[in-house]
Amino acid sequence: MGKRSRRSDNDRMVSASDLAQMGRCERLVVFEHRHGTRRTARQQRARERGVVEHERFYREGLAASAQAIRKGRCFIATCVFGEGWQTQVLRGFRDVALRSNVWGRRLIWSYYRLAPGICTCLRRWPALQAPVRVVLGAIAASLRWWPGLRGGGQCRR
Amino acid sequence: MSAVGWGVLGGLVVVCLAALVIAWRRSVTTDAALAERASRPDALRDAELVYMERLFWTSKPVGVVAKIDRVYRMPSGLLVLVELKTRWANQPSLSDVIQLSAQRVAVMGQTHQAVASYAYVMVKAPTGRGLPIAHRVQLMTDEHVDALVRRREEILAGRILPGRPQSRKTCLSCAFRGQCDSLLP
Repeated sequence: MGKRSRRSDNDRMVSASDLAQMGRCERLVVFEHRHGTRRTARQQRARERGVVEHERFYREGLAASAQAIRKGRCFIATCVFGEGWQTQVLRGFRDVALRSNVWGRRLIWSYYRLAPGICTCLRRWPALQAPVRVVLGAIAASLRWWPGLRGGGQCRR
Repeated sequence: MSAVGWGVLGGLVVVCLAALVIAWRRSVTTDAALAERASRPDALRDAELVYMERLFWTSKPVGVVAKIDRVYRMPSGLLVLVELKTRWANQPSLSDVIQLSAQRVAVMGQTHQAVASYAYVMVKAPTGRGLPIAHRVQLMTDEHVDALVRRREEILAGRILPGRPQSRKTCLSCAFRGQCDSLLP
């Protein structure tokens, strides 16, 4: 986390880590504000170790995300369209419209339970993919013009 | 051996080496993904990792900028913050709670999504080995963060005298220790 505050047009911004110093020592907040950050050799070593661990933590997260995305291919839209725009639109609809209410979340939960089984059937009998593609494609095409999805939803990364 | 034989042998060696490299890369990726899974708190077992090392900022209710380590989304849609700390003391501190509370304000302000009132501090010993241990912490409310930002501004403006740390142990590792009493009353 950068140790700097920045000024926007009207408000003074404070970084979360600068604010966290308040919980350590308020006098240190004043010293660092007046004289800049000063670290002992021990603190510097600890900081370097922290940077290395953060990089490892980040790499682990990336690997886990990549694996989750690969596993995500079992779901129906990805199964019939791959990573096409239809899949993006349907994901956007899931995140923006369905996740925001209780019934939507229940629907997502039920879908997650059913979808892998349906995907297995679609892969085993590819002839079934054509009608599913037509139906999902029509839904995705109509959702594409839905105002809630304009400007991009918070899609799964 | 004929030239064709050498060619076939060379080709086989290249294929074997390529297979070894691919297997090694896959095992590194799988190990990293397994480590992420193993270090997750139980409550986040079904959650989806949605943000990593990302900067969020908001100007309302207070101006806060925060770089988060990880944010998970629960099946209910609720976002949960996770912060990694490398240190010997295996417990969360007040500064961790303040940092995560400020992160919560920034994430809510920017994404307008619901963020849990609790978070996890993953404490890892600086040995380079072993998994981080997750500690669940209750976060401060927006009002508390707002009050803390204002107190900081008052202190920096010299209108309030800054307090000393609760533990003298903090002073022992401070780079300003020698000048602490001479620089401030």
